[in-house]
Amino acid sequence: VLVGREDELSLLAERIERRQAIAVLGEAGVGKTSLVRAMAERAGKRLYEAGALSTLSWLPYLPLRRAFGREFEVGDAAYVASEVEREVGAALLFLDDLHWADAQTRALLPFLAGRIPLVGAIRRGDASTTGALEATAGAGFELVPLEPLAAVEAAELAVLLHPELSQAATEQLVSRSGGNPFLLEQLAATGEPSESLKLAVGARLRLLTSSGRDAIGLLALLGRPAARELMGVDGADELVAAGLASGNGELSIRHALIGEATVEELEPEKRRRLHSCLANALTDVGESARHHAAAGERALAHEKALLAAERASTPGERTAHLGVAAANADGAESESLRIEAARAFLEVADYANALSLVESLHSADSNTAAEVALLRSQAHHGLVQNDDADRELAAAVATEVTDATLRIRIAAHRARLVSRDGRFAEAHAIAEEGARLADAAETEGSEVAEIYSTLGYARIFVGAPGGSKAHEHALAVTRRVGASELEFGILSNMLFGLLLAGKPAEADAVALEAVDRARSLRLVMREHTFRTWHAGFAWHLGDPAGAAAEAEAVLAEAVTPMNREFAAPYWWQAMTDLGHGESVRPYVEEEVAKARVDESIGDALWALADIELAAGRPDAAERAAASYFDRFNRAWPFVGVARAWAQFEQEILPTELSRTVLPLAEAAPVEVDALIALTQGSGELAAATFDRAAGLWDDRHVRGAFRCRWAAAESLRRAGRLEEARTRLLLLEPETERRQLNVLLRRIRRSLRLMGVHRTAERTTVGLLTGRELEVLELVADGLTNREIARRLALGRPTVVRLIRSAQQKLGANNRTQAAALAARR
Amino acid sequence: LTRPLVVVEASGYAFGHAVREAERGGAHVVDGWRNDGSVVCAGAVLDARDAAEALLAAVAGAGLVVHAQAGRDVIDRLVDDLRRFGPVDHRTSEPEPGPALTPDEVRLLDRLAEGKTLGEAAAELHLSRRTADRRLASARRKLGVATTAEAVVAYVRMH
Repeated sequence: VLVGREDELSLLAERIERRQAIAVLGEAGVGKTSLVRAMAERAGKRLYEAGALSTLSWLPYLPLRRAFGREFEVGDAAYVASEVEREVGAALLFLDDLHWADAQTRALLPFLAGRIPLVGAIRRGDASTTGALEATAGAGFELVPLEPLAAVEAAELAVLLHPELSQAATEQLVSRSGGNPFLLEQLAATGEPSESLKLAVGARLRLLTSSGRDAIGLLALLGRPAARELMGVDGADELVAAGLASGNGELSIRHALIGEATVEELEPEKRRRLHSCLANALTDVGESARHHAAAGERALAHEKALLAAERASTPGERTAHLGVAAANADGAESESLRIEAARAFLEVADYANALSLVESLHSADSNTAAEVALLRSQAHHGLVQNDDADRELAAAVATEVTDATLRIRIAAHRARLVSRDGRFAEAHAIAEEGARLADAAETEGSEVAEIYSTLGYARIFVGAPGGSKAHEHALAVTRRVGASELEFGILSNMLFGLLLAGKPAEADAVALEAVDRARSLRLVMREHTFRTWHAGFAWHLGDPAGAAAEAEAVLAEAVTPMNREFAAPYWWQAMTDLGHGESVRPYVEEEVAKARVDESIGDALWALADIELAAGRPDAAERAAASYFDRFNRAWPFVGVARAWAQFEQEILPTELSRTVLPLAEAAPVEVDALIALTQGSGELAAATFDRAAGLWDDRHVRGAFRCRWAAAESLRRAGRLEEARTRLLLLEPETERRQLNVLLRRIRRSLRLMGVHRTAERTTVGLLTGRELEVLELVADGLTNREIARRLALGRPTVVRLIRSAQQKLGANNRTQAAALAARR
Repeated sequence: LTRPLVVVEASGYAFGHAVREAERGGAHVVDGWRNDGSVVCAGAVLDARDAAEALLAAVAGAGLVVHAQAGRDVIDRLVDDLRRFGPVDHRTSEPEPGPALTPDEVRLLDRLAEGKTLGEAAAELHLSRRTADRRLASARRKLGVATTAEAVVAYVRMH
């Protein structure tokens, strides 16, 4: 595949037309060979490829032997050249990897240039590059440098090779490969650099001299472009010549991948030396402090980091500097500095760094000891290490605390952990108690915001009044004390409250605003959190494609497990609605297999139930839902709805669902009632009840509303009111299609088919088989029965049998197993 | 079809595995370096001289399965060169152990993949239906699948 080389192609073609010999110069993998091949093909010229080989660079005339399949052993250079000229005629001779050509072949260059159509390719940065450049220049070759692809072209290539990658993944691919097509292809094939790719990259580094190696080490550790003087002019020039670094004023590493490999290969001692070298050369105190720290120069690191924290302009920067200062502090000052820095890290959701600062702190003072335990618990909670979070919290609670502020903070965190386990009544009681404490103590700090924020959603969850009032109070307090970092935590709670209150559209606007604010403060982890909220609201609002894209992008970029675990369920659910349940199934099953007792397995079991329903396996869906209800004593109503559908499809009377105080899920028990009515054969009652459920879901959970609108029409059909059913379905169909609620769309079309309205699937053929036949055989290969296949594809069982039989005939198979095996072999 | 170009930087077992894989793919695998485009040459590269011989075989059109044991620079150059002949399968880790099917199970799956029913396959192999059933169940268990169709497809994909 050749992308973005139009200018070079026409230049080459024009020179060849004039018999001007050309040498293409570029780094390994930049696409020299592909370029020349494409040019020959476009010019309609036969190409004789005379490629030299590094291992065989001593072998006389090897390139010619490879091109013409014969020996050239008699006569002098002029004679061999005339032989070659006769062989080539009007065709094109391509001396690939000319830098590795043997001396005899090189001696031919002056005789061949200008006499035959001739192109050579020379690699940058090889030991023999200089010699080859001199030889071609002497023979009158014109030099054409070939640079790595620009970002736009590299992205185009990435999309051509891997259209399934998300935009975020594509961008990452482009930046890591630095526009080198070979690196890009290799990286795209394996995702992470394979051992083999690392060796290939390492091979380029091993060719450098020691000053070149120091220069690239410095540049890699620095992680940003830098002036040539910083790494020594000689080393810098060498990097540029080898195509490893580029830039006019400042130099930067051309391929991030090479930077990564460089850092990985550095010996610890050398790494320290280079860090120290950087620390002394840099003028930015914060950056210098980090390199002092990495070089093990603690006192200098501490001093400079404190200075940098003082001068920082954003909370994220200040926190980072404070962290470096605390980690490198010794003596009495160290303890308070560590606590301060850990709090700052927690506020910007950087849990790992927070934990590392307080992990080994032991204080004799009971207030300090409790605070340290609280910070550890909060950090573990952020890292989704629930047992550790519980243990540290218990330690904090068991300690005698005299400080009122600290007691309020402990209460807020305790309420949060208790509600994580689904004990909402208890959480509510703790939060109310904490809020009373705050009111009595008349404190004014951020702890008041923390406790009220927790109280807000505890109230919503138990149906107590005053939920949004508590949120607003919390938000007002944070704004008053100017704790902009804490504001994000509170906003997150508030969004949860708005969601439960059934106001996703309103919540989405708040989430998008928060995304912008987080971005402007450069708080990436917060940004990911709110983008996930946005994905979630898009899903609730009936835009699974938008939700899936956003959640997938967050998953690709997220650096903390919490961000990933938050985003994953929305990705699963949205993908399932889009009809791609099978592609997320492995992730969901993996999560279920981990069998952790917390929210994430609940989300996974919920997603699994929906995937199984979409796959036409109601029995498996019911098992997933049952496993959920076994684990959690409360009932997230959405899972109850999935269970009811699974039961209905197995013709079992659905389990009734108790009323809920959450407006978001108010419709759930009504939908289940309708399913019960339908199972009992009262189509008319079911239709009316589904309509009521649809009205209650409406703009709270659009997907539920659509499902109920279809179910109402289907109930009418079963009650014999065909005309009404048909009209409703025809109205619903285009809107469902537009929203890409594809699983539901299949159901709608099946209902329509049963009333004689046909929608034919797009006809595609793959070899002998139609797309439909292939689809059915793939499901056979997955071990599904005909009945399950029928359910999954929303077809009748006889249709499935017919499709398999026709595929068998076309493939000459004796039975469905052989047909599946033959299809798999293609 | 492209010829195999495999470079194994791992144990002798991994090398043997790669050789067997090439044989299963229908290649005529020979020991050592031969300038013959119709074979796949398998052997160890211990130094620059071996590398040159292996590469000459590749120039002549042979496929290669190389057990790379020479110095880093020799192997770097060999892999770099081999990329000129096509995609190189460069392995630096041990192979995943596949499910070890017994020869009896393999014979049975072969027949099922040809489209015979279990009864026909049992008759052909002189097995009772019950024994055939048991073998199939054991193969399913090893392949980690639930149905016969899945087992046959998994088997076909393995080979």
